[in-house]
Amino acid sequence: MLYRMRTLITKEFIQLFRDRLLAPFILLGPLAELLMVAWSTSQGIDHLPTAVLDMDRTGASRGLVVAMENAETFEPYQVKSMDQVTDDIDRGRALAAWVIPAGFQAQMTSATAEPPQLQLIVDGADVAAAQTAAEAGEGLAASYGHAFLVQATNAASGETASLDLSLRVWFNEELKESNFMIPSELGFIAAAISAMVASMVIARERELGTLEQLIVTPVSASQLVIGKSVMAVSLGYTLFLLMLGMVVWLFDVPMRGSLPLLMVLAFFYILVELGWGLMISAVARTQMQALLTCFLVVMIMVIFSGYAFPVDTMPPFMQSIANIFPLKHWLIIFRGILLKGAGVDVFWRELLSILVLGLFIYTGTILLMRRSRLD
Amino acid sequence: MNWRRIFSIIRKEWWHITRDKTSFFLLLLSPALALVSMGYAFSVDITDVGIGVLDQDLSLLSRQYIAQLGSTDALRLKAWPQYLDEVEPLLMRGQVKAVVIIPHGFEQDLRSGRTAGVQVVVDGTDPSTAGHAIRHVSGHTEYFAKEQMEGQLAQVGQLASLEDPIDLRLRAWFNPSLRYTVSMIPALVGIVLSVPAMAASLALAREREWGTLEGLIATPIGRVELIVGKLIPYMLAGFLSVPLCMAVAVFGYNVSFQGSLPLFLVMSVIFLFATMSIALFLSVFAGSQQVAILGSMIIFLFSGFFMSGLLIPFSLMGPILKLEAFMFPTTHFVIISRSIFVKGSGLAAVQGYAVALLAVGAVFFTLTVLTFKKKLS
Repeated sequence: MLYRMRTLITKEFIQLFRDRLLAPFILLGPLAELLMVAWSTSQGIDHLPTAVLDMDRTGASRGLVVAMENAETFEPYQVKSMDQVTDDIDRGRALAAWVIPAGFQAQMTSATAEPPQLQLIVDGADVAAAQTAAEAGEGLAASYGHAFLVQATNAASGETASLDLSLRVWFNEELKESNFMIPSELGFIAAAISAMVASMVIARERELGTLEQLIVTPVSASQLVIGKSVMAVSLGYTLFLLMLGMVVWLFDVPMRGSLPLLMVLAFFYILVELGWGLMISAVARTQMQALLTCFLVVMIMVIFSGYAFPVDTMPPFMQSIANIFPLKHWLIIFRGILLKGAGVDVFWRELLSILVLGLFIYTGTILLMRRSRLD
Repeated sequence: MNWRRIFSIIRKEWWHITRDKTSFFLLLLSPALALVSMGYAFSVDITDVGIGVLDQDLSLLSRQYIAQLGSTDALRLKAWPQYLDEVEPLLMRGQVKAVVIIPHGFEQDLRSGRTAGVQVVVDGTDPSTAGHAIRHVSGHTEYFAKEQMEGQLAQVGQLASLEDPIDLRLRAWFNPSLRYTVSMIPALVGIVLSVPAMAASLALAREREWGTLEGLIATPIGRVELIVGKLIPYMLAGFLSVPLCMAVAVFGYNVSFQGSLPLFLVMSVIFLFATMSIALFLSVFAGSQQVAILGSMIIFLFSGFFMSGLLIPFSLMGPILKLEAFMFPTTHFVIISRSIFVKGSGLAAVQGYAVALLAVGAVFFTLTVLTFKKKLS
């Protein structure tokens, strides 16, 4: 039994290294990709190129532009006419624009006049940037106006009551987008590559006709699945460790929890994640089918990686679907260990979910393998 | 170049694609199916972020303030810790994203005209949710403070209401209510349309893996003819998915199509040409389908998601990244697709990106022809 397994595993590794390009591709490709991706997302959405049409040209309007520069969301530059604003936004040169009307300062300081109409134009085609600009813009206008107001009322009536909000951010003190994004990307890339590698192993044997030879040997379905997954898990795990090293040393993502704990859990997680690929592989007849099915699964997986939207604010129906993807649970654990320094007592529920999913996935794969060898 | 020979390669390839019915339907439908599921995820707005409240003051005003916090669906009051020690486990478990702490003397301070302090502890792990919580808590706090101020001013007989001194008018062009789907779906079309290219990269690699390339080498077909013959059927298969994806976008997600349909179709052909050229170049080097799949996944899928300007605008990337992103066809097509779909732009606005796509396509096509040798290794 053990001897059979060993020969099977040896065969897998010989096959892996015989293709000179395959192993370097699996390991270095995702690593290079993560480097680029982490680099590109580590900056977040700020310094949006912003056209400013200042028709007032007073102290108040210049003060507003300075406030924009200080807020760092906007990178204001002056334009001369409304046509230029329209043109710049159309061509994507500016992602937002402020239009300060003539009489801005006069209307703001006078007690009787209507408040001045300040316009903020955002490019709705790029909604992530537009949303950021809109929220920052509203805050900016409100606090700028508020500062004026408090000055005026304090001059009139002395001190008045006010509320002071003191803010403390935990776990990610500077609210760095990269501390959230980069672990997500790492989790996603590791999961996708492991599933992809695993999805092709059995399909390849079937396509090339070598599965037939394996079937006539005394190797059983479960031994075959285990043999295949040993190769895939050792690749996936090496990849994970390489990427983790890069993330912690190169991108300064904090590592607050216990490293040995993370390494042990990651091993089991990758084993479970591979199961998805093996399951697809057991059903697919050709590598092309395996690729296309895997693509669909990976596309759904990215939704639940929290890269675009936090899973906890999704509608209940989506949340229940999210639960069948090990990635969702894993990212809670992974971020918990990295950023919060959490231990098993905090995320035992997620751990249990991954375990249960793993049992289901592997049982399913072995059953499917048994059935398909009769075909 | 002999068109008859090219045509026979095309016919052979097309048989390959359509012979396996499962693969054919997966190939045609997977872009549209992926768009359906992705689009659903991208149409979620952040609401109901759970927060906890620790009220140490237990006064009338503090209760009013708490009611104010829970008055919209942006925040939901989920936990009521009694002691400071309970705050950390709440945030650690992720049950709530923020805890608002109202200290003793909150009411007294406000009534006597002193500055009252409120503390907010936020879980910063997910900065966008954290930012949402911070903005809404401070918005409610400002509003509450203003109401208190108005009340006091009214007592001493001053102006009764404090109007905002600035009237901000927000105009979101092209997408007035800032719906995520309007901007994301056209961009995702670009990402899902790289599936045909992934399939194409398998095509050449498969010939080599199965040993059927040897048969082709023995025929008088030239390498340009062979590559053109491989390119065209996969472009055709990809082109068939374009209307499917557009139908999902327009009918499934109510994203109205503002631009010109012929222009969009021409642009998608150019995009398919660019992605296919890269895919074929990759498969020249790949000895097996496995390498081809992994390579095309890294190039098309990961780069498509994370670097194409889907969430972080292309114009904000640094120079080195811009150069890299420039090579990926998806970057250009995301911009083109958004412009035509959402802004209704004409040729003038997108021609620069179209030229870039053509250039990328031409470079990789030439490289493929030059490096592909009709020889056995």
